[in-house]
Amino acid sequence: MQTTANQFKNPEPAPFKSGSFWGWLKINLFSSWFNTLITICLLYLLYAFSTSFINWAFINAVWFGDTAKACPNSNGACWAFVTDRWRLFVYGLYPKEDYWRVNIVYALAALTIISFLFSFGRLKKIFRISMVTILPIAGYILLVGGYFGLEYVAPENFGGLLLTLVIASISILGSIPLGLMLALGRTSNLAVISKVCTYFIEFWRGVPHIVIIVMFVALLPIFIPDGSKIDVVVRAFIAFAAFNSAYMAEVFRGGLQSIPNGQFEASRALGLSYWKMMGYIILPQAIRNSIPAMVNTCIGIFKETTIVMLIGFSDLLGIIQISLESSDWVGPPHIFSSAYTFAALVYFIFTFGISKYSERLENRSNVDS
Amino acid sequence: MEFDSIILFEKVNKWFGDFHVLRDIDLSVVKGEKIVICGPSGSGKSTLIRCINRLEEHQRGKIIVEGIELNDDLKNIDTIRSEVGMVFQSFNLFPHMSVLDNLVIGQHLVRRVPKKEAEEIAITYLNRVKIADQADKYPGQLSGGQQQRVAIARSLCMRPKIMLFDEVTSALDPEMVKEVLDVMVDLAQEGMTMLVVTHEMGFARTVADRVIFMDEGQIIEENSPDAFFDAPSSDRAKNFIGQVLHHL
Amino acid sequence: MRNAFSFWRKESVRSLTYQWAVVVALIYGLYWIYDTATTNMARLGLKTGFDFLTDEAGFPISPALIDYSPKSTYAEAMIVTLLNTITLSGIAIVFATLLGFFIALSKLSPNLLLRKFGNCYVEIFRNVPLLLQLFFWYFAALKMLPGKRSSINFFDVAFLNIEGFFVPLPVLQEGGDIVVLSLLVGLCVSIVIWIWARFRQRNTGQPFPAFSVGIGLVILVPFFTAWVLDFPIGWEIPKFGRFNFNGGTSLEPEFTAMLFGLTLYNAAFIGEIIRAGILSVDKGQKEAAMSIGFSQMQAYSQVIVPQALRFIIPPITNQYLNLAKSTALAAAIGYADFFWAMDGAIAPQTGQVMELQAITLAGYLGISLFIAMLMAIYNQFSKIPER
Repeated sequence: MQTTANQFKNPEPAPFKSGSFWGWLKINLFSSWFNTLITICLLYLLYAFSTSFINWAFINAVWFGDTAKACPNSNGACWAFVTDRWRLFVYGLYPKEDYWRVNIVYALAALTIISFLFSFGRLKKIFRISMVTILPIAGYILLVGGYFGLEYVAPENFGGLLLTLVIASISILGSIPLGLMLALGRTSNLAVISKVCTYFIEFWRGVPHIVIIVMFVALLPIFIPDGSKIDVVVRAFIAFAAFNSAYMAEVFRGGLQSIPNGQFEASRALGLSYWKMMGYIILPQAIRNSIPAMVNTCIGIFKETTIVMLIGFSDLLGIIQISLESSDWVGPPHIFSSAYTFAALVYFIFTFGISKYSERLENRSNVDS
Repeated sequence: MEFDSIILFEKVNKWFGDFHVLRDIDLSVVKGEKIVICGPSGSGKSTLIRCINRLEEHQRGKIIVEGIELNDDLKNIDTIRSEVGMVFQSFNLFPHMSVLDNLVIGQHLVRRVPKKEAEEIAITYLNRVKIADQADKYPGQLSGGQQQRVAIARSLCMRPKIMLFDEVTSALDPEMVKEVLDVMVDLAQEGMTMLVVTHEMGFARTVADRVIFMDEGQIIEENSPDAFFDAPSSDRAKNFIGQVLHHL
Repeated sequence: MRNAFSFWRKESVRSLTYQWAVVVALIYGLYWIYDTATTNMARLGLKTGFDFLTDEAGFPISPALIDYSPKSTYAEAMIVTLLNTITLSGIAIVFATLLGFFIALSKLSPNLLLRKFGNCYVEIFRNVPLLLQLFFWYFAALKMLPGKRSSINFFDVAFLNIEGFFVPLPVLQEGGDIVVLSLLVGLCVSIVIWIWARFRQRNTGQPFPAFSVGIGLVILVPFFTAWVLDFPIGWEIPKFGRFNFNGGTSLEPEFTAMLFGLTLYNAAFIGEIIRAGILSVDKGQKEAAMSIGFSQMQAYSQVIVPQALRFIIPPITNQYLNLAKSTALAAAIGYADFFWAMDGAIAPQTGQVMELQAITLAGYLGISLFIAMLMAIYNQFSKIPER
């Protein structure tokens, strides 16, 4: 048997084929004749689609106008509809002289978002917590009014993007604590509580949400004394918080189940009571684990606000639809498609933004752990 | 370097992205040889044997198995894969099939052996690895050592000419390592061509015809086991042996 | 020292007390609600009872899969619309799954451009609310179709226009039943061949292209029979009379819009679920399959897909449930589904909200429970035994 002790070789750079631009192209786009065929078809599609889209959305588009007559033909987008009615979309039926109140709330919301997106060093936590507490309170006072000399504005007058955001926020804020309680109940050792919570959760998850909302709006006056005095919009809010808490409960349950048994055992061994164990040890971990699924649910809640249209509320989509059917703007379907494209863009910005933020959170917490 | 090499590596180079993982590997394996490949982690040992059944592709150089060159030609790859068996560190048994089915499915679908015949062959090999009584169990119901023995039997059912072992005992509890090594020793005595990547030095000494020491993508030293372990020539090999024997 | 406190500290005493407290509170709460309800209803003068079910409905429903006219009862109206909901859900589930499967394949493809297209599809259709997508199809896309007089013409036998897709209806003429029979014969022969091929493979190991042969038979046998008998299947072709099409049948735009919207929206979610399921299968499984010598097809069909299904079935069932529930949105574009009937058509006429709500809830809960039950059964079947 021979011995070979080789002269040591240094690493060489990767060969032309796999490391360079052409190599990259070959592997990713042209690796087989079938793939090449697909790449060519897709490139053509991409080209055709982008040129016609740019033509429609920018070059031939009509940007200003008062009525449907401003957009006579369908080869250009009718952005005039948006520029004409945008106030309605953003503020709803809110009285014009009080727009400033809504603007302040929007600004506060933007500030809250910024506080979560960026880091401010040590002040970060205080800043975020204060924004999250100030926003709902200030929001309520400013939007509804009736205090501090502010004119009262009935929630019925909320509309458009304002209503969408209010419904979404109330649903999220309301469903999180409720959902947490339900999740704790469902995973409890006490059979009665566990069963009751389970049936409760499964009930809300088994029925279409629009049916639940209609149910609340129609039946609350019957089931609660003086129920008819509760504003219709508020009834819808309650309905939203109610069924969304079932979904939040499932999210938290997933988070709770991801905590290894050993955590519970160690806490018990230390002598912690149930509530102490939950509060100090389990829930902090469980909630952190639930965040991705929770954000997903929040995105779903935001998209679902559109269903209030079916009971006559004017959320963003609702108010757009009403405007499309108003006498000024009722017209050919291409105006509809322009309006819907605009609405889709608005929703997309919110939901895509939230999901990208959630991805960032996940990546960060993966690195941490 | 020639006479009847069943595996031939000629100046084989491989990169993972920018990382040069195999550098100018020249290797010739004769039929019936048992080769143990050892070295520190990241040295490219697993990558080397995974190139033999095309689980990894080499970018430069030639690999010839049983006279067939390994390249992009799918037919060649399929032919070579049916002659080369591989056992993995994480066993990779198919959990949704019984032990018997795990052994039968490859024969039935790839070698087109009728089911009954395949089952008989399977039982033969299960007996060889001494686990025939578990034939109807599912992998999830077996211990690690048992699963690995089933994995070996599964590869053997395909009647390979060459067997590749990729750190097959590293994931096992210590008391199960012996049962798997015993099977491998039996196999060696029957004349199978084996390439074994392992840290089990005792096994290397007993079974290997040749020990190959790799570091940083290169073959640093090749020798008979006694010569290698008792008198390594390179410093790296000396270092490595020192660290490994430290354990025992 | 035993006293009242040590009695209270016993775990069992505490837990029993809490549970009984909950039960009592629940019973009291339900009773209180019941009491309030009856008081309020008496005060508002609302009728109760289910007698109205046999009253005449008085409104038309289209489409109707069973016989229905405005003279039918409310109960029949409910059944027809429930059937509509179920049909729409079923068809949408099938199409959405098929499309979702292709989306998943695209996102798993080695072709970068195809992956990006898949990603774009998923991001766009997942992030835009379903109702908005439905509106787009109904009010924008389908409304851009031409009017009846200038329908898009498919070889003079099918006509696409703003009021629907008018297609021919097959009519069996003399000898037509023989053709149908031959189709059945072709199907039976294919099944027999398939069984025989499996036996043959078991015994000799030789594979047989039973699938392609089967498809060939199912198509060719009836075709050949029809050719011999001189094509005895007539088609009732929609002909444009003075104002409308006579003959043939049509797919309404409401149904089409719902189908498009539901399929495209849910396919995005289903695609992600399928992709995640396939990726969840351990990488080593594919390597083991390849090293035995399986072809790509064999590796996927024998090893990867059966395992991926375990990861796919629970979330996809959830998605199907969501799909079935979201058919309620059909009311917004005028498709006659269950919710539209209960809330939009019957409720204003009878005013008996309590009973109607109860029936609506029961209907949808029934559908949900049915789908959940199917999944539980499948779950039992596919359990992989473990220690």
